[in-house]
Amino acid sequence: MSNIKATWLILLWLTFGVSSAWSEVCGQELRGTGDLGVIIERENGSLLIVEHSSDRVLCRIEGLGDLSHASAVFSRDARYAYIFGRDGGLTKVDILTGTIAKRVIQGGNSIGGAISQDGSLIAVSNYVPGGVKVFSSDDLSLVADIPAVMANNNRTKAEQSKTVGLVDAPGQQFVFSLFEGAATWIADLSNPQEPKITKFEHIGKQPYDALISGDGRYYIAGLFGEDGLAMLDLWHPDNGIKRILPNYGRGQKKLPVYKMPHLEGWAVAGDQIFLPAMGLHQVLVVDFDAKTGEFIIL
Amino acid sequence: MKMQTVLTPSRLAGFLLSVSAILSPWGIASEPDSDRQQELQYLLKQDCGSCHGLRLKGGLGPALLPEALKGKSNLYLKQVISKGIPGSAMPPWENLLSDSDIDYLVQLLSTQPSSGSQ
Repeated sequence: MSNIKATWLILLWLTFGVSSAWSEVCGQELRGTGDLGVIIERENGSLLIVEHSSDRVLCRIEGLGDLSHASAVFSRDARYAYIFGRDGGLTKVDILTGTIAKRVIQGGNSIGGAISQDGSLIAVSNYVPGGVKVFSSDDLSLVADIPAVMANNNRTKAEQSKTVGLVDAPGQQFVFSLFEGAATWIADLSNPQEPKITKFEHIGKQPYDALISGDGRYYIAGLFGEDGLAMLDLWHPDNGIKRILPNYGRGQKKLPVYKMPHLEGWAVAGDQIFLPAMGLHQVLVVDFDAKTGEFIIL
Repeated sequence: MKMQTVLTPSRLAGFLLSVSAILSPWGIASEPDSDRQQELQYLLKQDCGSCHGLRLKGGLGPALLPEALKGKSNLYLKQVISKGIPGSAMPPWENLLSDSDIDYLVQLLSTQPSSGSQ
């Protein structure tokens, strides 16, 4: 949600014939990072550092594993990019020198991550083994392990839910949802050694992703398994989950969903939120009153 | 992609099903031409891969590597691709893909080299 939260950078870069067109210049010029960008080369598992003032590639960084669903967040000073790989790899890249500062394999299959408000913590959302792990942004050492063990789980104790929609929220909090667990959890890492978890159960079936409003107040999870969305007012978490737009799509025959959509904070423009209408093959443009938390489909 | 000619019982069943379901004007099951095969390989990687992983190692959907598919017949794979799995995120693809397209995808999945080749 904050400025240091990167936009998704899942870009496919055509590498053929490109490599000879530029020379490796990362680290050779004194520069800021303001005009730098990171391009994820999904299939190759590599990264390009680019600069936009003269639109050139500065260097390629290889050896980042499976980047097929990779995303990035940036350090507060915008020097480091933290790359979340599909294979559970978490890589801290120095985009000034074009080098890997640190790399760990923290899980078996991960979906993305977030950086805390103060920039000290990196949280990663995992499909395998599930749950969320939190690392020091400095050396990527493990700070907290938050297994997403589901409530009312009759199966083995070890079974965890995939986690989705992980965002950073004000006050050293991370908020995420449990795909199978149909829950939203707030992890307060004000004291990183003892994360305080607040759980909201029965938010709706199969939350697939979530967004947080730009002011850090509203967390909205999209539901794959039923109509509507699940919203949490982080200023008033005691009010619990409120179901919004509960009737859209109701009574209509669901169309197949060929690609699980994202739900991201950058889909908020002024008072309007753009939401994928699951099973309708439409986009909903919703007028949102941030003061009241009311939604009106336009 | 080289075509395999080995006929296992499950593959034979899939083959017969494709023969009965889609018939060319000459009464022979059609196979996607090489351009279509390229498109389907791309689809497997980029579209199936959006849930199952670009390297088919799994994501929101399960892995589709040989170890994960062990014991699942081609007929079953075809059924799942065609009809989807109700209640899950797996959609039915029969409205977008022809019968022979799906057969080809099943063939791609069932003839993958064993693990360690990625």
